[in-house]
Amino acid sequence: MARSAATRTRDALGVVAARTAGRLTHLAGYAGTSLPGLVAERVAPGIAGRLAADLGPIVLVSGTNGKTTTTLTLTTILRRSGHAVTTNPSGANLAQAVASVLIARADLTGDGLLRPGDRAVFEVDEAALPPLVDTLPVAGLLLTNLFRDQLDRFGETDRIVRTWRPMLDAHPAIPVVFCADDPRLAALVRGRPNARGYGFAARPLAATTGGVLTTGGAVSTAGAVTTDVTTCPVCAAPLSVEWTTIGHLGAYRCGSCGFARPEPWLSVRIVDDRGFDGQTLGFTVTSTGSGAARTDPGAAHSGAADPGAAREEMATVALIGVANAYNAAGALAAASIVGVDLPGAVRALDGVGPAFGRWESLEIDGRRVVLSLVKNPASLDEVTRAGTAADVDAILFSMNDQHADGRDVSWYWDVDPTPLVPGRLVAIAGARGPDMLLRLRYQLLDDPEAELGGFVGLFDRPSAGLDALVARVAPGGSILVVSTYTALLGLRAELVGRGLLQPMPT
Amino acid sequence: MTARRLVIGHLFEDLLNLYGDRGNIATLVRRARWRGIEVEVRRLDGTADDARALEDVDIAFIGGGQDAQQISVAAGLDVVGPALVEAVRHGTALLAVCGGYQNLGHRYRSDLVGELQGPGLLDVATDAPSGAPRRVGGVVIELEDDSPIASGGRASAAAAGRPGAERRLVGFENHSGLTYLGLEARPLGRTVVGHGNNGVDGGEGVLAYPGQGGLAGLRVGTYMHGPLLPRNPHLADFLLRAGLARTGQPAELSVLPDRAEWAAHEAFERRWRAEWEESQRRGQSRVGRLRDRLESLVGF
Repeated sequence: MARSAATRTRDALGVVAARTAGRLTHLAGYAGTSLPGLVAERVAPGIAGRLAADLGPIVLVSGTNGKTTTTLTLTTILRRSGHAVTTNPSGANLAQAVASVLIARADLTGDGLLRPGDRAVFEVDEAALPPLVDTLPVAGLLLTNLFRDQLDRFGETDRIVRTWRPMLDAHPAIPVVFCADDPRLAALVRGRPNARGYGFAARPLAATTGGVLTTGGAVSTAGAVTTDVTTCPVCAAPLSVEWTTIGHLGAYRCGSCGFARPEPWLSVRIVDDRGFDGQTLGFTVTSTGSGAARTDPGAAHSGAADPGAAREEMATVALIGVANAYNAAGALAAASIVGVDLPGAVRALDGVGPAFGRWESLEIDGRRVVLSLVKNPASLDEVTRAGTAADVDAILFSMNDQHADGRDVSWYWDVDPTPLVPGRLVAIAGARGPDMLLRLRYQLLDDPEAELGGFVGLFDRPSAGLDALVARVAPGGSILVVSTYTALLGLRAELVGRGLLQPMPT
Repeated sequence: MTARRLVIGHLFEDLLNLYGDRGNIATLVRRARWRGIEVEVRRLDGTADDARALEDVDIAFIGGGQDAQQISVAAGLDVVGPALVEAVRHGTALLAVCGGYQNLGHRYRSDLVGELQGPGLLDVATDAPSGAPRRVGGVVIELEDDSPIASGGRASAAAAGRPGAERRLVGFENHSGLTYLGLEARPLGRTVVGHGNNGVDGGEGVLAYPGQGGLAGLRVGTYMHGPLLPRNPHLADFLLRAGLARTGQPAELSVLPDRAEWAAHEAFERRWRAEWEESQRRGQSRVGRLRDRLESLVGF
């Protein structure tokens, strides 16, 4: 990008100042993912946009759940397809953090260092998305889903929809890849010619949502999470649902205004589910698929316009569960708008594994330990579903309510995690541990004098809970850790310290 | 002797379910069943049938939701509101949390919803001024000295080795509305930790004993969710007694082994009290404010 000499000087100063600030925060013992971006923007306003202009096509991944895994999957697909990809570390997904990544990548003269074929994939926080779309030259948006989440930070889910609508209206040229099974997203891109949907081909058999606490002990399967969206996002009449996968995601139709799930451009199905060992997924492109996606933005592949292209492509991934089937489909659809055709992208997808802490698996003294992240009702529902079906000997619930967890974690009372419990050892840890114990007791105990079956104890530290389970589970057995974000970071750091896991990239 | 019976009505469960509200219902149901009381839970939405069903409800519960849902609830209350008032007049006990607390007052006003009129079952009015910060965090309130909620929980707290804990309620608040009480109304308790109704008058929630305001039913309104009842077993039992009394059934409740409940109560109180004191201290010192600002810049 051509910049004036004055701008070049200021950008160079911005990069130097930002890197100095980053170095200092590290020395002070903070992770400091945001400060460099903030400093650079103060010294050289608009620097993020100028550095990003040198990046090549940028895809922003946003939505409540699946951002990290989808970003990693898309990045892997693009890299395996021969592209150099710039991306941000998990969790560093606010505007300043993305700017920090751009600064870390730039040279000291403020040049972004473009190579031909470069791509960029950034995971972006839902609230941070509109300003970033205004600032960066975006080649595509990938919107995963909108669940209720972080009630304390955003206040209300509706607020995200209210900020995304004008964002999309203001940028009609940006292609959007979206989960067609989410009625709120489908309503947001309705009538947009350059939108491309992905979704399940039919209801996956495995997608029985966890039970819901209604009448104290009697578990109903009417979805607590499905109540995220009960009315038509277009006309507010009741929405009828043919099937659902996770929470409100599924096949829906409004009897009043006719708004219905657009046929996904890319359909996914679970061909073979192997529990903690992953799954084989099948992907099919429907030429008539959603959102008039045939207006191919970017370098789309010819199959999209070819009515005879309905051949299923399969990949086996080390990613667990229905949510990850969605994440894989989203990554493939997004790859298609930045120049990787479907058969090639599916080949690149084969063998992809989990992001840090998302169904990550390790071994401790011959016991398998699987780490899962819960951060809202939908993710707890999904972890409960997959964890109940899997071969597990013990469960560690590790619940915190620090800022990064969302301070308001009352949602674990709205979803029923207790199908995970019967027949397994249970340890509970974290600041909300005593509360989680009540959660299980009130759901499971018919006799107030009884102890919870298989209960090993309450622990302050997640690692102490894990050690207690490792000591009680026979070699060859497996332990599932169900953890909020900060509890997972803490546990992970300890496991890294013991040499059992690789550190997270920063 | 035939078993005692209770009917619990869960109002607008589909619309107001945002803050662990099902945990409150589960707690009432379990604590009744653990004493051999038969319980039936009825879902009550905004239809004429639901209005008729309210006649049989001993304890009515309404939870919290988003502004958009509160508009739908206000519309539903046009249908079932009069029946709910009638039920409470004849002794139905009422627990209203967060959004439901706002909806059942005299009015709720916010930028998004405009002005919603409520049935005035709770003697409060709420404003959510534009740009008002959300008040998010733990809440600890102290009950009045002679509070029957406290006296009913004394034996249970003492048996669990936590004597005195029954004089407090703990919960989690998350709201931008500011709620003001009518001249005759009393708060549920005095805020020790957290913002409470409006952050000014020191009160949290509203409490009307049976008979007050010409209504025979107990009424409790509060911002505390998280949910409220599991870790406040004395309040749960207080509501159960009121529900039993409505139909003239014996209202005594046996003392349960509430060790886990009071342990969670105390852990919650200790933790949020420490955080509140730290935030007050920081707010008063320049260095503390500077450190807050720096940390928010750096990111956690």
